[in-house]
Amino acid sequence: MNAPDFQKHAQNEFQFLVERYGFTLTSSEPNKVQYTSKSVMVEVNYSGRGEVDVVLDENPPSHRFQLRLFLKAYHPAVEKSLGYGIANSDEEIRREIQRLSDALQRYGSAILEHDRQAFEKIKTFKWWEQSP
Amino acid sequence: MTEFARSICLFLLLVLNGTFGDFSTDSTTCQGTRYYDPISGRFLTADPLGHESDPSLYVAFGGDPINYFDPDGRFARGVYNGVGSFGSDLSASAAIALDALFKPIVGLFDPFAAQMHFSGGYKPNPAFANAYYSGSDAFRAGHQVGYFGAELGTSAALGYGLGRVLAPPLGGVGYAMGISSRPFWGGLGFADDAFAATRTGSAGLFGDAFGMGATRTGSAFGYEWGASRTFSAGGTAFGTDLRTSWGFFDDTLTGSSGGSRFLGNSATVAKGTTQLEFGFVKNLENPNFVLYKTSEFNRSMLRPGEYTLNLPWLRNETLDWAQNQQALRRAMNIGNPIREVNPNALGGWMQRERDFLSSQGWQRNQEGSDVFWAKPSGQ
Repeated sequence: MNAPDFQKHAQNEFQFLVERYGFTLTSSEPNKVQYTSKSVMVEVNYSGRGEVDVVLDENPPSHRFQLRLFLKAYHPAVEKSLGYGIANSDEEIRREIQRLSDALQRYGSAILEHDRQAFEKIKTFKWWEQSP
Repeated sequence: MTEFARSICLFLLLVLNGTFGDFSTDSTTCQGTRYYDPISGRFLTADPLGHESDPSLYVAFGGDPINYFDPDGRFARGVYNGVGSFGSDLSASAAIALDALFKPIVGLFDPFAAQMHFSGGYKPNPAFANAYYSGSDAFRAGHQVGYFGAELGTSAALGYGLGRVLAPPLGGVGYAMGISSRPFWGGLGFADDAFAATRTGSAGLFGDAFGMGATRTGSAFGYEWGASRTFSAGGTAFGTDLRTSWGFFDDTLTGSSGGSRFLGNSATVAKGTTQLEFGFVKNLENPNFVLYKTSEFNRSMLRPGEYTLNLPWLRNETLDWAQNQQALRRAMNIGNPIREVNPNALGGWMQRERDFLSSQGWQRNQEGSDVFWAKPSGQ
């Protein structure tokens, strides 16, 4: 499963991690682009029949979780607005990556700046226990 | 038809299933191994199985497109005989697995209706699972009376066979009766069947019916004990068949490539070799479907008896969802609780599957650290 354009779009849309948060591009593959800072890992991936996703973790790794889960915990309406996140065409892929990038930029500073409390909450957070 | 066209045809049969008039440039439809001309009501090329399947090499649906269908261009099969008719050979059995997961073939055969037919008044789920693969044997019982009767240690299969011979539309009745006995497990009577030497040997060796299947294929013993992948990795024709067919119920082995092999080999099987259906029976006895998030999933997360599907990626959301939904419907039809392997995952196909389950009244429940979907009470 290769998606040549995914790699390019992911790097374009997540360049802000390098420019504004001091992340380093540590891995770039056709279906996965990964950035790390001293304390945080951000992975943009394209897998599972067209699923675009952003996965987060501490650095070194402790507990992987989706950006969506973080949004669900703190900004559930934003998470819901992301829909299923399935993309097949180049334009769809670009759009989905952009939406995730925007969400991370707008709502994810606690993660990107390694707010330990935010990470700890996610470790025990179960989205379905959250009141609707 | 060129080999290339035939390959495409086979691939489409697997991936999309059914007829493919929409993809043709004329009125013909891809019908598995052959193209079918609906105007003349005949295939355009000869039956690759020769006269074994029909006196005419070009006749389609046994000359009766209303009551028969032919999913891959090699056999006409009775709609209402369904499983039993499929059982005419192993490839037929495998084809049923395909049917069960995808859209009705040729628009005449509703696999779910077939399930209902054969499992009606029966234990719905195990009967269904067994039905398919017992079907092949049952059919042969009709032609080799005593063969499966002896093998199964019951008269049920024999009853089916007789039913088919005497009154084809009723064949399923006798057949269905045979299913509940779950005769394969005992490994009884193998010595009496036509493959006595092999089967008896394996039965003795492995001590159960799966040993029998194993011997036939050369290594089904491994399959029985969960080494199906080892089995299929053996690369034999049987192994491939098993892998592929089984693959429709296990994600390791699914996908278009596996499916293609299945079709290719099923032609071989149809020429007189034998089979794998026992593994299916075992596998489908009580399958537990799971939902998972691809990016967060690995096979070690599966528990015994659980299966998932690794459907081909069609790169079209509508078609991809159609596949997902069909597989999910089948799991829902079986009715077992559906576990979420990655319950905290959000978005993607998994979320869409959740939404679908919810829309059908299924309830998401947490039991300890597990999250299951349960069918609505009363269904």
